[in-house]
Amino acid sequence: MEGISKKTLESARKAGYLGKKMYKQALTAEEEGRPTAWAMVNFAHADLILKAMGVEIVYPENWGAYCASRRRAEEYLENSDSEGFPTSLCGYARVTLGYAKMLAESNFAVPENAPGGGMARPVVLLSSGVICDARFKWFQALKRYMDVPIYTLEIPNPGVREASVEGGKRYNIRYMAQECRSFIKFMEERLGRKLDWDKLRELVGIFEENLRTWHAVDQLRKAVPSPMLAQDFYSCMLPLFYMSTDPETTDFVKELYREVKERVDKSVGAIENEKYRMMFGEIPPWHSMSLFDDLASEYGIAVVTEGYIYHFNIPPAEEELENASDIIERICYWTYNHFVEKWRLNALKMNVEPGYFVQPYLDMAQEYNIDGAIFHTLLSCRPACYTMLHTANLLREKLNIPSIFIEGDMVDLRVFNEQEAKDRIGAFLDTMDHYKELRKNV
Amino acid sequence: MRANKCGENERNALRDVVRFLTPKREMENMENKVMKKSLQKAKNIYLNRFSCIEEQKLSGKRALSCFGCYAPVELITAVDILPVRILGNLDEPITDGGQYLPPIMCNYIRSCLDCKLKGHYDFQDGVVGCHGCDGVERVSQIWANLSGEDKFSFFIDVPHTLHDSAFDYFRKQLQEFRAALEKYTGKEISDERLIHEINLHNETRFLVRELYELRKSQPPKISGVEMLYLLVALMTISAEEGNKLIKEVIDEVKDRTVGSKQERPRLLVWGSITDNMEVIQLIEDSGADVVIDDTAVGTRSYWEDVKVTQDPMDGITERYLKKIVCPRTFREAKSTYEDDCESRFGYLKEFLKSWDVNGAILYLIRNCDIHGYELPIVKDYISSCDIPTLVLEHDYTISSLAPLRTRLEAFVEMIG
Repeated sequence: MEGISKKTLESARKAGYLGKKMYKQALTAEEEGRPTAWAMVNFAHADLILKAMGVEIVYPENWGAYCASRRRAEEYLENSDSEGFPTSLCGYARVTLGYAKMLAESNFAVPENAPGGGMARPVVLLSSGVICDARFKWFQALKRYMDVPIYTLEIPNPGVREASVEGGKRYNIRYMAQECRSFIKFMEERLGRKLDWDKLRELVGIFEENLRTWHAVDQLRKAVPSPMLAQDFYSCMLPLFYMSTDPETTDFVKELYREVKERVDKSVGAIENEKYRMMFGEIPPWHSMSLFDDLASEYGIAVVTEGYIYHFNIPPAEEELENASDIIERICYWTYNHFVEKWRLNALKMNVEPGYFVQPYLDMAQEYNIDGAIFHTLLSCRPACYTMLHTANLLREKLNIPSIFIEGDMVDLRVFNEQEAKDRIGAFLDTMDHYKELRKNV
Repeated sequence: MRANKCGENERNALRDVVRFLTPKREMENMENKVMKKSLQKAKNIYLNRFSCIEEQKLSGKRALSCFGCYAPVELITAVDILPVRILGNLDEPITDGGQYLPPIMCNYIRSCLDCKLKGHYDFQDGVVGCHGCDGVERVSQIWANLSGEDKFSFFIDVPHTLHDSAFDYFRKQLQEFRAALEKYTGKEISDERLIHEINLHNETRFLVRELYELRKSQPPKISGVEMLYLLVALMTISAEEGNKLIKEVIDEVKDRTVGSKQERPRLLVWGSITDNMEVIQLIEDSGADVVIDDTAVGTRSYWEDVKVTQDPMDGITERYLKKIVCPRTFREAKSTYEDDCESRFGYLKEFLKSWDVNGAILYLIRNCDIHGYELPIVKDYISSCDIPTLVLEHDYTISSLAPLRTRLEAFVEMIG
């Protein structure tokens, strides 16, 4: 289908099966009277709790992206627009709001032709207080269509210096753990049963193994030529990001590692003609992922890494995990590592703010030997774009790495001009060559 | 990179354009209305904010720029620093801000940074940022980054919920903020001093509410535009001076008989920040009076006091996290949509009733997501109170105001 990427890895081509499984599991659960949740990406700590309580999870953020990739988002967007929600709101949110309106009008019968089978009716909505306001405002707005309990889970997002106060990390971990315990209590009251702590410990074991393997894959991607590119990652992302506790994901990520390692051992790149190594921020045009294939074939551009937000696979130090007071704190160390610890010290050293939204790009640019960055400004996702110009300025000032901006949207293909994007990036090659020379002379 | 300031002359020239476009009849009403001395003083402060701050600094006073409603002013004034609310400037095209912030974001926050980059906030000795909305969160930190390491900066990560754990987290941050201010100034903030500041700022809030009471009359004793002049003035001068000014205004307007004898429709303005008089002026020129608002520079900043608690930090934490009513805070969802709306917007019913409101303007700055998600829901709620609504989307520029006039006039005629 037009817009779908060919991908370069066998594993990436197989990842779709796990995505379909996720939605099917939830629909089956609903049919069988088992609970399903709609959850914002919560960087796994709430997922582990929900799974340990026997709750299937679907992620409207992912479903919005999936609808876009199948070029089926428009009907839901129009539904949301007709309700009076501004068209500038998050595309994923508008897809969900449009879908929820359909559900409400059909007495919650999932539409037969909904992409991926649609999202099962939830018993709880889990929103998030971090990354962007949409991630709790949108679920709050869903109340208009479904009387479903909502819980908003907090994750601390301090400034760089504020995160570095003595004792700050320990305090923040305890805060996150308290939040998780409150969430557990909330779910136990809703479901009328207790959390299965043994099951939780089992799932944490699977989760940690999967994320460590995934982290190892990310390290392999630093090789020159890169063995795995963004178009592969975005497909693999689904099991890694959304199904980190599934045993099939364990097999998947091990196979992924094996395939990527083999390429590194043989010095085989994902593309034959890797001339330029670029990174991509923040959210891709899901409706037009073949863009990455075209950039590779036409210009030799290898997009070797992508938005940091998708990489929460940063293993905490073993002693921290061992010293966690309980399994809940242990999980929170993983989430906190992604949100704060990974970038904090470098941001302090380089005097960069905001830390979470900017420093990881500066780090990735060095770790992955980047020639340039592509920033995709999104009509319906301001939070992903607020700091792009600032990041681009800092990449240039501190590292002599240039950036190119392309305009579009993650969901609405009507506002993305693919040819214009490609032409702009093509014209940017000389700029990357120039800065490459500058960096050599520094 | 420094850019030229858009000075007073340029701003006045832009205002002249607005005045030229304003119907003559309305302009005469405005100019014939006797502007009381105290309101003129408030207007002068509004028009000359930055000069006013520079004057206050001549005595050696320090000033911190503050984003949003969430920086506890009590802590700042307890170390004798002037808190200055960061506002945008509708009159000034965004140029320098465009180097850091993309055009798809809220123009109000872009304007704030634009003003900083053009040197308007060079008076500042530092900045207090907060996690208000996404835009304020990111720009707070970019602002601090651009201000230089020699300036004070502190970022308050305001939680989005009212969970007990969130309260504790927020309280801890405010303690750290207090400690940072003490270290910066070399002054210890005693609990006694803090209680003194709480009472001082509570007095400000009380006096502002008293002024809002004077808008219950028909016609209101003070217009929406005049109120905005005063509110912005309060965010520019010391609390002591501010309280004195409000009392003068109350004294001068309470027995006022002003404006047309014909009763004009009474409006509530809900939504995105309205920090420039042109927006309120446009609404009032359409033939109605803005009698009450639910906005950041208005009631949200003044409606709730800090309770004086044994440990004053408890009262401060509670007020700033729980009592400020802003869509950026998630309040626990109730079981049904109707109950949830009542829980979230029930206070509006009181506003609508007590201020005898005939219609509501739902004002949205384009790309203001926090209010965008609320829009259909608050519309549902206000409509359920049998009050008609008009959604006005504005991109926070002067030039985009005039096209809104026709819709406003039609709405006012409909509810009149």
